[in-house]
Amino acid sequence: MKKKGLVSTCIILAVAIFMACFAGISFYKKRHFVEDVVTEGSAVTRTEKLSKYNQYLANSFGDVDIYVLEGEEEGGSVLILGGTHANEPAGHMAAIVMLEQFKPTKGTVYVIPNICQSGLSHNDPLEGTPQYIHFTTANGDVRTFHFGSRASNPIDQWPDPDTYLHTSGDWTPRYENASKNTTQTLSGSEVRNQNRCYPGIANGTLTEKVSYAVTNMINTLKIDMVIDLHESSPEYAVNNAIVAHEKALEIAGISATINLEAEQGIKIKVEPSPVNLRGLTHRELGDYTDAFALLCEVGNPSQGRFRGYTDEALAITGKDPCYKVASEIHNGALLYVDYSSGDFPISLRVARHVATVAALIENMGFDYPDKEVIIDNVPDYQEMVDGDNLGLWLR
Amino acid sequence: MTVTTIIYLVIAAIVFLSVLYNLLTKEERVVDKIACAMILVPLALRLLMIK
Repeated sequence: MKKKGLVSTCIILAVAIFMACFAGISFYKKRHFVEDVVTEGSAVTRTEKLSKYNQYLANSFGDVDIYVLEGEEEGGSVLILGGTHANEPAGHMAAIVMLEQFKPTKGTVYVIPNICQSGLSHNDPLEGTPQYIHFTTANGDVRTFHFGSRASNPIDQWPDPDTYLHTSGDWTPRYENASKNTTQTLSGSEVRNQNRCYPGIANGTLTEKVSYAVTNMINTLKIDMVIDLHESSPEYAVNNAIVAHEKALEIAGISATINLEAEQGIKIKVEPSPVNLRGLTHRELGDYTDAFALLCEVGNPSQGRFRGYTDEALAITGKDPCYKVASEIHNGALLYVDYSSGDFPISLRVARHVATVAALIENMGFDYPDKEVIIDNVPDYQEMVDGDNLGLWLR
Repeated sequence: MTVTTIIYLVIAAIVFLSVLYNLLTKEERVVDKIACAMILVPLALRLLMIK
């Protein structure tokens, strides 16, 4: 090799090594960043590890904490799942707000705010999304939380298959009208989608192991209701909605029409869980456990395909000029949320989730008194919206 | 780590070494060397299982 060629090779190699180190350190820090969930002063009475319900999860990246909030009086039980899709921050943050604020006086609330910890540990390539989001609490502390990916981290289960064949493993349906169609093929990358892997396989991929643990936890503890918190693109039809398994449709309907829309002015749709769309919480946890299975959606401009520049501000404020334009075309027919205000802040999105969860729990107790769960200190919807600072509801 | 993952890591290592060999000994144009370097970065991160 000529001397000139050797010099250019060395320079290019040095730049490549620098880029690999720069990116690698950033990715490594994100992968191992631990969020500070504050249990001091909260109603959390104890924590458990998810691996208690699937031994194959022990010491893995999916072995997350279960926060248990026990009331003094015995009653029903509810499991709240946040962070199923880690690029939907209101689902993750709503679960954290609930575990830090809710004070059950009757019954038990289980909260897993980071059910897909693997998804929180990385970002989707080429999406330009932030790695973290920050909130300033009432006492001035800045708290940092993950903004992650829709799917589990590929280093936890690599490579993806060409086609993902979903199966129900060894589970036996507990719902008499459970779908007979127990297999489904999807794009290979969906094998890392937490909400396509239920009811889960004990010794499958990491994502399937986590799903198995959740299903087994619900059956073991005889949990009465499970609520999975999500967000969706404003142009996606299932938006500002409760998706309910057949068993939970009545509870969802009353919650939406009376508690949310009539009493608080929160417009929310109720969608029945599609029978043949497999692997989702509202379908499989309804079919394979005795729990009322529900999923909540709220519009999130930071994950939509119409969005413009994507950064932490968009994730928190929901202000996006491209969505504003989209909302003005054909009188907003392109979108399934009212985006006329030009924003959709995370305080509003979390407030909707908190109000919806509270309404669903209240109605379960109304319809089934033996499953009643009473919760004090539920953050007020209007106060959360008016405050426009989610940090005020974090400890 | 599954057997499939190990096989894919071996494949990634072979590709990484081939590209590095090309960069050091074969490529003469600067753009080709830069292209090699850009291929090496994600391969190195995947070999170290950093994402």
